[in-house]
Amino acid sequence: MVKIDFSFHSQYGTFADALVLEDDHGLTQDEINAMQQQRFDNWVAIITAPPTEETPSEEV
Amino acid sequence: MADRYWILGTGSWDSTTTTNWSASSGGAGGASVPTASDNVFFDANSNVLATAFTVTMANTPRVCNDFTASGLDGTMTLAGSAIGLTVSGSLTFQATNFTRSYTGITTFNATTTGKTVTTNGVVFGGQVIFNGVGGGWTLGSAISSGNQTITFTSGTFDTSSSGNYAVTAGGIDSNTTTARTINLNASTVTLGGSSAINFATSTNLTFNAGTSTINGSGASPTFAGGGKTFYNVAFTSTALSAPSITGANTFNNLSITGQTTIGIGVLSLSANQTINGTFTVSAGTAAPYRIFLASDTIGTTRTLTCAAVSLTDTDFRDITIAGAASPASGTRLGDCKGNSGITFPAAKTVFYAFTGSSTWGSRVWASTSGGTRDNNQFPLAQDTAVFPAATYPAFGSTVTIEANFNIGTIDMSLNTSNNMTLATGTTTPAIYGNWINGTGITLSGTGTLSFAGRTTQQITSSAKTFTQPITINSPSGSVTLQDALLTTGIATTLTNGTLDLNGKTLTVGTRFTTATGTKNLTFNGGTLVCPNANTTSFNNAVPTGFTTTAGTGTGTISMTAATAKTFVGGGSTFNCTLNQGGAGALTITGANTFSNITNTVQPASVLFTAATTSTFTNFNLSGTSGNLITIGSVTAASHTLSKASGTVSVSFCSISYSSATGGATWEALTTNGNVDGGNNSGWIFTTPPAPSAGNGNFLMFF
Repeated sequence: MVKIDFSFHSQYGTFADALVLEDDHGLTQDEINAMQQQRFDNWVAIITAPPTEETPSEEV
Repeated sequence: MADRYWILGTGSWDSTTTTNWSASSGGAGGASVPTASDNVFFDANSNVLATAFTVTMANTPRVCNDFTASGLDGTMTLAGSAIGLTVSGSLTFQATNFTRSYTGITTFNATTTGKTVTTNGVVFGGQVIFNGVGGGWTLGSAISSGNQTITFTSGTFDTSSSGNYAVTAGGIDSNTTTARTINLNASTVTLGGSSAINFATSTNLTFNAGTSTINGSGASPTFAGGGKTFYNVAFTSTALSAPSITGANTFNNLSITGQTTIGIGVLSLSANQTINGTFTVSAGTAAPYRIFLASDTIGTTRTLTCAAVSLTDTDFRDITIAGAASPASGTRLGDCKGNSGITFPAAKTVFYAFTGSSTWGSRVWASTSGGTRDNNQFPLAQDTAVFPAATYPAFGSTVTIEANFNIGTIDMSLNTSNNMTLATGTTTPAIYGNWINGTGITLSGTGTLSFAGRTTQQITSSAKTFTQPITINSPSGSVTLQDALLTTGIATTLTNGTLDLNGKTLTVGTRFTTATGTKNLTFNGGTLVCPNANTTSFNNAVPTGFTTTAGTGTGTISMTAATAKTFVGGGSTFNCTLNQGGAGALTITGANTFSNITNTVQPASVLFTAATTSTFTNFNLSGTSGNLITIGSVTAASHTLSKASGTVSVSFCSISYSSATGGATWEALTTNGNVDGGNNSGWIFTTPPAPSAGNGNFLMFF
C-alpha cells in the first residue's frame, strides 16, 4: 500500500486527508490530483450544506 | 482468529449465510460467518470477473476484527438499511471501487491499541462510535460521518500527529465518565450539527487539542466544552441563530464569522471563558447583520478574559471583558446593559429617513432628520431612533422590525397625523430605552416585546394598543407607565425589575403573569386590569421574588371578566385592593394577603380555595338588594378569612364555608341583607338581643 498525504487550505480551514492506494494502483498523477480535489470538494459540500436544524421557536 | 474472504460477488452478509465466505482469497465458499475475532477481506477475488457487486449486511450488527477492502477490481457497495457494523480491529476502505450505502452505527470497539481507521474519502452514513476500554485508534485518512455524530466513549482516538487528518461530523460527543482520550493534533474538525461539542460530562476525558481548529458550521451549534482547553474554535456560519457555549473553557482563538444574513445571532454563554489569543467577531455585511453576545441568564455576568479582541457589529449583555484586552473597543458595539470592560460608542440619535415602508434593518436611518441614509446609523441598543413628522415615513407606511434586534429608545411622538404602522410580526425585539408612541401610529405583531433596560424605562402609549405580549425583564431596573397601557398580547410577564403603574391603568391581554426572577409591581395609585376569563387571568406563577408596593395612593388589581376567572395569588402579599370587577365568579387561589378586597359589580361570586387563609387589612365586599355577593369556597370545605382588628361589616352577601378569624369582628348581619349559607364560623349574622329591664334577667349586687 502507498499512502499519499495531501491537504487543501481554504477559507473553511485546512482539510488534511490521505489517499491509501494499492502499490500497483496504476493511477496517473492527474487522476490522483482529481481524486484529491474530489475529496476536498466533497468536504466543502458537507460543511457548507445548509443546516437542517429547526430555528428556535419564538418566545411567547 | 481467522481470515474470511468475500467471494461470488453480490450476496448477503448476515448471521447465517456462508455462501459468500471463504477461508482464502478466491477460495471455496462455506466458511463460517465472521465473528468479532475474524478479519474480513474484500479484494479482487470477491466478485465475478470485474463486475460491480453489493454486499448487503443484515442482522445487525455485523461484526469483524479487521475490515479490509483492498484490491477491488469492480465497484463494491457495502449496503444495508439501518445496519450496524462493529469493527474490533482496524478498518480500511479502498480509495476506488468502494462505496458505502449502509446506514447505521459503525462501532469501533477494540480493546488494544494500534488500530487504524482509513476511510479513504468514504463518508459514514450513520453515527460512529469509538468505545473500547484500552483501545486505541489512529486515523489513516480524514474521517467523515457527514452530519452524524462521532462519539468517543472509551479508548484513545488520535487524528495522527503526522497526517493531522480532518474530522467532519455533525458533532463530537464524549459525554460520559469512562476514561478516554482525544488527540486532535493539528487537525481541522468541522462540526455542522446543533450539538457540535458535547463534553458536558468531561470526567476522565483527556482532551489534547494540539493546534487543532474546530469549526462549528451550523446555525445554532451548542459547544459544551466541559471546561476543557481548546485551541482555535470558530463559529463559521454566516447565518448564526442561537449558538451557545457552556463550560468554563479555555481557547487559543475564539472567533465568530461575520454575518451575511440580516438580523441577529445570539451566542449565549453559561460560564466564563478564557481566550489566550484573540476573540474575534468579524464584521457582517453591514451594521444590522449582528451578533449578540449574552449571558444565558440575564443579570448574571459572564467574563471573557482575552489577550486581544477584534469586535464589530456586536451587542453585549452581561459580559465583562477582562485581561489584556480590557477595556475592549470595537466598531458599532451595542450596550445591552450589565457589561464592563467594554468601551461602547456614545449613544446617538438617529432618524428614520425613508419616505416609504421598509424594515428596521434596512438603510433607512440618518444622523439628522431628513438627512442622508447611512447603514452605519443603524440604531444600537444605547441609541434613540426617532420617527420624524411629515414624510418620514409617508402616510400609511409600515416599518417592520424584522429581527430580534436590541433597540434603545423608539420615539414616535412626532408621528401624530401621518399614520404609520410599526410592525414586529413574530420577532421578539428587546428594548433598552423608552418606548414612545405617537398618536398617529398603529402597532402590530405577536412576538414579545421585552423591556430589559436595567435603569428607568418609560412607556408612553398615547392611547395606542400594543398587540404584542410584553415582558419586563430588567434586573434592578424599572419600567414606568406614562399613560394608560392596553395590550392585547397573550401575556404581560413580570420577570425581573419593577413595573411601576405610576397611577395609570395597565390592561393586559390574556393574563398577567410572573416568571422566575426578582420582580416588583408598584401601583402608585395605578390599576392593573385583567379582563380575560381564564384560570390564570392573574397568574403569580413564580411567587418567589415577587413583591408589590403600594406607593402613593391606592393600587388596584381588577378582575373584570364577565365569566369565570381566577386570581392565582401564589401566597404573596398584595399591597393593593383586589377588586371583583366582572360578573363572572372570581376564584382566588393561594394564601395571600391583601390590603383590601372590593367589588364593583353585583351579583357576583368570590370564591376562595378551601383550607387556605386569606388575610386582609380591609374587607369591603358588599352587594345590593337582590344582587348578592356570594362568598364561598371553590369546593365544599371551609376557607379562612383573617383580619387582625377592627370590624368587618358586609351587606347583601351570601356566605358559606367561610371561617372568619384573626381578631377582627366579622359582621354579616341578616338585617343588612346577608344570608348565612351554612358551614360558617366567626361570622356574626344576628345581633344578640339587647338587654332590657322587662325580662328580669339581672342580678344586682350591692
